[in-house]
Amino acid sequence: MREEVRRERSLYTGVALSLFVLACAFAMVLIVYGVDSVAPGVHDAYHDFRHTIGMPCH
Amino acid sequence: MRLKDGLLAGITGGIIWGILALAVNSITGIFPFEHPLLYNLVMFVTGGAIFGIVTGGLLAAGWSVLPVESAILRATVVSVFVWMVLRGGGLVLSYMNPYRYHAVFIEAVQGLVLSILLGVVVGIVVRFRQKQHLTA
Repeated sequence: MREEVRRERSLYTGVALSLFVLACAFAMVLIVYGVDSVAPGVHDAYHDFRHTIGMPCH
Repeated sequence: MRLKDGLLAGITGGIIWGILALAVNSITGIFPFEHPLLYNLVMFVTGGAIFGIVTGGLLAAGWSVLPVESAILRATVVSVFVWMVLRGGGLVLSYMNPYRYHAVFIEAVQGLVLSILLGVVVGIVVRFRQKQHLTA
Protein backbone atom coordinates (compact mmCIF):
# COMPACT_ATOMS: atom_id res chain seq x y z
CA MET A 1 0.00 0.00 0.00
CA ARG A 2 2.77 2.41 0.98
CA GLU A 3 4.58 1.56 -2.27
CA GLU A 4 1.46 2.51 -4.25
CA VAL A 5 1.22 5.87 -2.50
CA ARG A 6 4.89 6.53 -3.19
CA ARG A 7 4.48 5.62 -6.86
CA GLU A 8 1.40 7.83 -7.20
CA ARG A 9 3.17 10.76 -5.57
CA SER A 10 6.13 10.26 -7.89
CA LEU A 11 3.79 10.31 -10.89
CA TYR A 12 2.17 13.57 -9.78
CA THR A 13 5.59 15.13 -9.20
CA GLY A 14 6.72 14.08 -12.68
CA VAL A 15 3.61 15.54 -14.31
CA ALA A 16 3.92 18.79 -12.32
CA LEU A 17 7.60 19.19 -13.25
CA SER A 18 6.86 18.43 -16.91
CA LEU A 19 4.15 21.12 -16.94
CA PHE A 20 6.63 23.51 -15.31
CA VAL A 21 9.16 22.85 -18.11
CA LEU A 22 6.44 23.44 -20.72
CA ALA A 23 5.48 26.74 -19.05
CA CYS A 24 9.14 27.80 -19.08
CA ALA A 25 9.44 26.84 -22.77
CA PHE A 26 6.42 29.04 -23.47
CA ALA A 27 7.96 31.91 -21.48
CA MET A 28 11.22 31.41 -23.41
CA VAL A 29 9.39 31.81 -26.73
CA LEU A 30 7.68 34.99 -25.46
CA ILE A 31 11.05 36.41 -24.39
CA VAL A 32 12.94 35.43 -27.55
CA TYR A 33 10.35 36.80 -29.96
CA GLY A 34 9.16 39.66 -27.73
CA VAL A 35 5.46 38.80 -28.01
CA ASP A 36 3.94 41.93 -26.48
CA SER A 37 0.43 40.89 -27.47
CA VAL A 38 0.63 37.97 -25.01
CA ALA A 39 2.98 39.44 -22.40
CA PRO A 40 2.86 43.26 -22.56
CA GLY A 41 6.27 44.87 -22.08
CA VAL A 42 8.29 41.70 -22.64
CA HIS A 43 9.81 43.03 -25.86
CA ASP A 44 11.41 46.04 -24.23
CA ALA A 45 12.19 44.27 -20.95
CA TYR A 46 14.34 41.58 -22.56
CA HIS A 47 15.63 43.69 -25.47
CA ASP A 48 19.31 43.57 -24.46
CA PHE A 49 19.12 39.88 -23.54
CA ARG A 50 17.59 39.01 -26.92
CA HIS A 51 20.31 40.83 -28.87
CA THR A 52 23.05 39.32 -26.71
CA ILE A 53 21.94 35.76 -27.46
CA GLY A 54 21.75 36.54 -31.18
CA MET A 55 18.02 36.48 -31.82
CA PRO A 56 16.48 38.68 -34.54
CA CYS A 57 15.09 41.94 -33.17
CA HIS A 58 14.75 45.55 -34.25
CA MET B 1 18.81 11.05 -15.05
CA ARG B 2 15.74 12.20 -13.12
CA LEU B 3 13.78 15.25 -14.28
CA LYS B 4 14.22 16.89 -10.87
CA ASP B 5 18.02 16.61 -11.15
CA GLY B 6 17.95 18.02 -14.68
CA LEU B 7 15.86 21.00 -13.59
CA LEU B 8 18.03 21.76 -10.56
CA ALA B 9 21.18 21.61 -12.68
CA GLY B 10 19.46 23.66 -15.39
CA ILE B 11 18.27 26.46 -13.14
CA THR B 12 21.64 26.69 -11.37
CA GLY B 13 23.61 26.59 -14.61
CA GLY B 14 21.17 28.98 -16.29
CA ILE B 15 21.58 31.65 -13.62
CA ILE B 16 25.38 31.37 -13.82
CA TRP B 17 25.15 31.49 -17.63
CA GLY B 18 22.96 34.61 -17.53
CA ILE B 19 25.63 36.46 -15.55
CA LEU B 20 28.36 35.12 -17.87
CA ALA B 21 26.39 36.21 -20.96
CA LEU B 22 26.07 39.71 -19.51
CA ALA B 23 29.83 39.76 -18.87
CA VAL B 24 30.69 38.39 -22.33
CA ASN B 25 28.63 41.01 -24.17
CA SER B 26 30.02 43.75 -21.91
CA ILE B 27 33.53 42.67 -22.97
CA THR B 28 32.86 42.10 -26.68
CA GLY B 29 30.57 45.13 -27.03
CA ILE B 30 28.84 43.37 -29.94
CA PHE B 31 25.51 44.83 -28.83
CA PRO B 32 25.71 48.13 -26.91
CA PHE B 33 23.35 47.77 -23.95
CA GLU B 34 20.36 50.13 -23.84
CA HIS B 35 19.38 49.44 -20.22
CA PRO B 36 21.38 50.04 -17.01
CA LEU B 37 23.61 47.24 -15.68
CA LEU B 38 21.53 46.45 -12.59
CA TYR B 39 18.33 46.20 -14.65
CA ASN B 40 20.08 43.94 -17.15
CA LEU B 41 21.48 41.78 -14.37
CA VAL B 42 17.92 40.97 -13.25
CA MET B 43 16.77 40.30 -16.82
CA PHE B 44 19.77 38.16 -17.72
CA VAL B 45 19.45 36.11 -14.53
CA THR B 46 15.73 35.45 -15.09
CA GLY B 47 16.24 34.84 -18.81
CA GLY B 48 19.17 32.56 -18.07
CA ALA B 49 17.17 30.63 -15.48
CA ILE B 50 14.34 30.05 -17.99
CA PHE B 51 16.78 28.91 -20.68
CA GLY B 52 18.50 26.69 -18.13
CA ILE B 53 15.23 25.09 -17.01
CA VAL B 54 14.27 24.23 -20.59
CA THR B 55 17.77 22.90 -21.30
CA GLY B 56 17.82 20.87 -18.08
CA GLY B 57 14.34 19.47 -18.72
CA LEU B 58 15.18 18.40 -22.27
CA LEU B 59 18.52 17.03 -21.07
CA ALA B 60 16.78 14.82 -18.51
CA ALA B 61 14.16 13.72 -21.05
CA GLY B 62 16.73 12.85 -23.71
CA TRP B 63 19.54 11.66 -21.43
CA SER B 64 19.43 8.04 -22.59
CA VAL B 65 18.99 8.75 -26.30
CA LEU B 66 21.66 11.44 -26.77
CA PRO B 67 24.47 10.04 -28.93
CA VAL B 68 27.32 11.28 -26.69
CA GLU B 69 28.69 10.03 -23.38
CA SER B 70 29.82 12.97 -21.26
CA ALA B 71 27.34 15.14 -19.34
CA ILE B 72 28.93 18.32 -20.72
CA LEU B 73 28.64 17.15 -24.33
CA ARG B 74 25.05 16.01 -23.78
CA ALA B 75 24.05 19.36 -22.28
CA THR B 76 25.84 21.21 -25.09
CA VAL B 77 24.00 19.22 -27.77
CA VAL B 78 20.68 20.11 -26.08
CA SER B 79 21.46 23.82 -25.57
CA VAL B 80 22.71 24.30 -29.15
CA PHE B 81 19.64 22.44 -30.44
CA VAL B 82 17.33 24.77 -28.46
CA TRP B 83 19.21 27.85 -29.72
CA MET B 84 19.05 26.65 -33.34
CA VAL B 85 15.31 25.95 -33.14
CA LEU B 86 14.70 29.44 -31.73
CA ARG B 87 17.03 30.99 -34.32
CA GLY B 88 15.26 29.08 -37.09
CA GLY B 89 11.94 30.48 -35.88
CA GLY B 90 13.52 33.92 -35.82
CA LEU B 91 14.65 33.57 -39.43
CA VAL B 92 11.10 32.68 -40.49
CA LEU B 93 9.78 35.71 -38.59
CA SER B 94 12.42 37.99 -40.12
CA TYR B 95 11.40 36.75 -43.58
CA MET B 96 7.76 37.59 -42.77
CA ASN B 97 8.44 40.90 -41.00
CA PRO B 98 11.98 42.14 -41.74
CA TYR B 99 11.53 45.47 -39.93
CA ARG B 100 10.52 43.99 -36.59
CA TYR B 101 12.82 40.96 -36.72
CA HIS B 102 16.04 41.75 -38.49
CA ALA B 103 18.99 39.46 -37.87
CA VAL B 104 22.55 40.63 -37.24
CA PHE B 105 25.20 38.08 -38.21
CA ILE B 106 27.79 38.94 -35.55
CA GLU B 107 25.13 38.79 -32.81
CA ALA B 108 24.12 35.35 -34.09
CA VAL B 109 27.74 34.17 -33.87
CA GLN B 110 27.92 35.43 -30.28
CA GLY B 111 24.58 33.75 -29.55
CA LEU B 112 25.83 30.41 -30.88
CA VAL B 113 28.98 30.65 -28.75
CA LEU B 114 26.84 31.53 -25.72
CA SER B 115 24.55 28.56 -26.36
CA ILE B 116 27.63 26.31 -26.29
CA LEU B 117 28.66 28.02 -23.05
CA LEU B 118 25.21 27.31 -21.56
CA GLY B 119 25.64 23.62 -22.34
CA VAL B 120 29.11 23.56 -20.80
CA VAL B 121 27.93 25.30 -17.61
CA VAL B 122 24.84 23.07 -17.20
CA GLY B 123 26.99 19.99 -17.95
CA ILE B 124 29.53 20.99 -15.30
CA VAL B 125 26.73 21.45 -12.74
CA VAL B 126 25.28 18.02 -13.66
CA ARG B 127 28.70 16.39 -13.29
CA PHE B 128 29.32 18.18 -9.99
CA ARG B 129 25.96 17.03 -8.61
CA GLN B 130 26.57 13.46 -9.79
CA LYS B 131 29.94 13.40 -8.02
CA GLN B 132 28.32 14.79 -4.86
CA HIS B 133 25.71 12.00 -4.92
CA LEU B 134 28.41 9.37 -5.41
CA THR B 135 30.52 10.62 -2.52
CA ALA B 136 27.58 11.33 -0.18
